[in-house]
Amino acid sequence: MTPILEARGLRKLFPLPPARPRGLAGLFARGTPRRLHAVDEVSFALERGGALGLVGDSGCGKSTLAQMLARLIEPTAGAVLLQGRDITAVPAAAFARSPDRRRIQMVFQDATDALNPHDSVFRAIADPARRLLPGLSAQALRALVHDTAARVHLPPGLLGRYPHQLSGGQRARVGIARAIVVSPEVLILDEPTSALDVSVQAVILKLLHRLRAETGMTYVFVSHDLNVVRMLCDRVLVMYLGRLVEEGPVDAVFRSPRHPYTAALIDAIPQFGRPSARREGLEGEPQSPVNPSPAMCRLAGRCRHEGAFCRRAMPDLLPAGAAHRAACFHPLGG
Amino acid sequence: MSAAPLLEVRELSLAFRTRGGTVRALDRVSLTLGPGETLGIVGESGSGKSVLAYAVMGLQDRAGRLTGGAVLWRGRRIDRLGEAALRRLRGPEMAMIFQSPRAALNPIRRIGDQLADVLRAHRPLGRAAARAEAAAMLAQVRIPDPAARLAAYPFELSGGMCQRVMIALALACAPALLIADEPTTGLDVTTQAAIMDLLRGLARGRGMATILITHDLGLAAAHCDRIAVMHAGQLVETGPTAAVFAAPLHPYARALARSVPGPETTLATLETVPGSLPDLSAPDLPACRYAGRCPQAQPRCRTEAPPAVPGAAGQVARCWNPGP
Ligand SMILES: Nc1ncnc2c1ncn2[C@@H]1O[C@H](COP(=O)(O)OP(=O)(O)O)[C@@H](O)[C@H]1O
Ligand SMILES: Nc1ncnc2c1ncn2[C@@H]1O[C@H](COP(=O)(O)OP(=O)(O)O)[C@@H](O)[C@H]1O
Ligand SMILES: [Mg+2]
Ligand SMILES: [Mg+2]
Repeated sequence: MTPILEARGLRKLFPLPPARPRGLAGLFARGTPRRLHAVDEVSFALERGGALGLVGDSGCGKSTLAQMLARLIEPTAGAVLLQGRDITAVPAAAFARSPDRRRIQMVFQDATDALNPHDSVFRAIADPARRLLPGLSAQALRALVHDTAARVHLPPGLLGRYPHQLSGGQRARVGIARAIVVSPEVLILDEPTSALDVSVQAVILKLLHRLRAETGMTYVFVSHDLNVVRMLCDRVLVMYLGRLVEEGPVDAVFRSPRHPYTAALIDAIPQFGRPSARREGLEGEPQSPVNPSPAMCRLAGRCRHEGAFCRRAMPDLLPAGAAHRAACFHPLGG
Repeated sequence: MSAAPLLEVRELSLAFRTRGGTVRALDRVSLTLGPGETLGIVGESGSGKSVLAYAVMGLQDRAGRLTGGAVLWRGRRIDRLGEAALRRLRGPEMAMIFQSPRAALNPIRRIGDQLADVLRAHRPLGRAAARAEAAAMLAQVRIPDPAARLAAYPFELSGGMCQRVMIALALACAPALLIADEPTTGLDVTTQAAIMDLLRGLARGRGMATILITHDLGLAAAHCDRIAVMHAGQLVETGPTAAVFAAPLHPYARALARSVPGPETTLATLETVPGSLPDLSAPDLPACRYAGRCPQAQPRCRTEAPPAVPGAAGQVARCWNPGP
C-alpha cells in the first residue's frame, strides 16, 4: 500500500551570517559560510490511519520537520510525498491554493499565537473552510462551523467570543477545530498540549484520540512528553540535533530503546517513587548545530557508549528489530 | 517532632488590589518545613504557588498585602520585618531560583562578576579570592571549564547552563532553605533531569531544605519528601509524597494525581479535572474554592471552611467529604 505520507531525505539548513575574524583582518576575510542544520537527511513513511510521535530535546528540529511535512516551509533538499505524489514539487505559496492543502493540516503549539486576536471564534474556524472548501453556501458554512465546534466540545455560546476571552484549554480546542474543519486526511500537531496544565491536557488528549477514531485521520504528533506519545501514538521517531536517530513501534522503542540518546530520554522521565539514579544520563553539552561534521555521530562527546568509530563516520539508520531502526554503531541491547 | 521547624507558614492570607477588584490570592495557607526536607508545592497555574513563595521571601509585589496569618523562620516572625532585615535573611538563610534564569541574570554583566558581587556582599573577600571562589562554584554546579566561563555573558550560555549559574548564585551563601520556582520548566527533558539531580545532590550534601514549586506532578513525585497541593490559593492537601499521590484524600488532589500520564497510563485510565480555576477576584468565592468543580460538593462546602482531616498514611486534607 502506498504510504499516506512519506519524507525522502528531507533537509532544512538555515543560512547564518558568516563568522569573520575579529579586528582589521575581518574586513578583508571572506568568512566561512555558516549553515544551521535544523533537519538533516530525514526519511520515513507513514501508513494511513497511523499515529506517529515525534520526540527529542528542544531545538532538535521537530517543528521545522513538522512544517516541512505540512508544506508550510520549503525544504533545502528532499521531498514530501502525500499518497505517493510529490507535494514539494509545487512551491509552498502555490500549495496554499492547491486542492491538496485541505488534505494536510497543522495544529500549532501555542494556540494564542496562531489565532488572530481580532477574529471571533466563529471566524477563526470559518476562515479555513471558506478558503479551502469553495462553493460552500453561507448556511452550509454556518452548519459546518457549529458541527466542528461541537466535535471539539466548544459550546456554541463561545463562537462569538474573541481569543483573549477564552481559557487555555478553549483556545487549544479552537486551534484543533480550525485544522479539522476542512476534514484533512493528515493532521500534524506541534506540541498541542505543551502550554496546558495536566488537568486540561488530559481532556485534549482524549479529544484527539476520539477524533482519530471517528475520522480515521493520520496523526503526526510532536511532543516532548514521552508518556503522552506512548498513550496516543503507535509509532515514534526520535530526533537528535536534526538527525533521525531511532524509529519504531512505540512499545518496542520504550521497552528496549536501541539508541543511547533514546535511552537517556526515557531515563529522564520523572517517575513516581523512583530515586534519581540515572543509568543512561548524557554528559556535557551538545555539539553545535552550525556546520556540524558530516562524518561523526551527533551524540559523540556526550555518549557513554562511544567508540573510536563514532567520530569517523555518521551512523546510518539500520534495522534493529521488527519495523524498528536505529542509527548507532553501538546499539543497546543488541 | 521535637526540633523546631525551619519554616512555618501559619494561616497566611494575601490579597492583591487591582483595578478589577481584590484578588484573594492566598487563603489561610499553613505549612511547615524541617531542616533538610524537600517539599513540593504543586497545582494548576494560577493556584498561588509563586505568590506563596514570594510571600515567604518577603518579595511580594507592592499591590500585594498580607491580610492575615504569619510566616515564622526558626520560630521568629518574619512577615513584618523591614527590607533591611529581610535582605540579611536572603542569601545566608533563604534563597530563590526562578523559572526564567536568563531573565533573572543581569544580561550585561559577565557571569564571574555577578557571582563575585554576591559573594562579596556577604563576606569580606578580595577580588582574586572572589574570582577563585566563583570558579569553584561553577565547578560545583558542573559547568565544564569553569575558569573560562567566568568571562561569559548570559546570552552566550544555553538555558540549562544559565539555570546552573542561577543555582550557583542562589547557593553562594550556603542558605538553609532554597526555594526553586519551576526551575526546569522550559528546559529539555534530559537537561531537566540533570538539573534536578544536581539540586538534590547539593541539598543532600549541605543538609539544605528545598521547596520545589512546579506544575509538573511527575517531577515533584520523583524528587520530594512531602507534597503540598494548592488550588485557587488554598492548600487542599499535604503529606508524604507517596501518600498524597497514591492515596489522596481531597477530590482535587485525587483528580490531579490521576490526570498525570505515567508509564502505565492509558487514555482510558487517564482522568480529567472538571471545570477550571474560579476567578479569585469574585466577591462570592465559596469557602472551599473547589466547591464549584467538585463532584462531591455539599451545600456547606460553600459556606463553612472545611476541617483538616488526617488520613492513614500521614496526609492531611481540608475537606468536608474526603475520599478514601
Ligand atoms: N528561521 C530560522 N532561522 C534560523 N534558525 C532556525 C530557524 N528556525 C529554527 N531554527 C533553528 O533550527 C533548529 C531546530 O529548531 P526547531 O525545529 O524549532 O526545533 P524543535 O521544534 O525541536 O524545538 C534550532 O537550532 C533552531 O534554533
Ligand atoms: N501582582 C499581582 N497582581 C494581581 N494579581 C496577581 C499578582 N500576582 C499574582 N496574581 C494572581 O494571583 C494568583 C496566583 O498566581 P501565581 O502565584 O503566580 O500562580 P502559580 O505560580 O501557581 O501559577 C493568580 O490568579 C494571579 O493572577
Ligand atoms: Mg518546536
Ligand atoms: Mg508560578
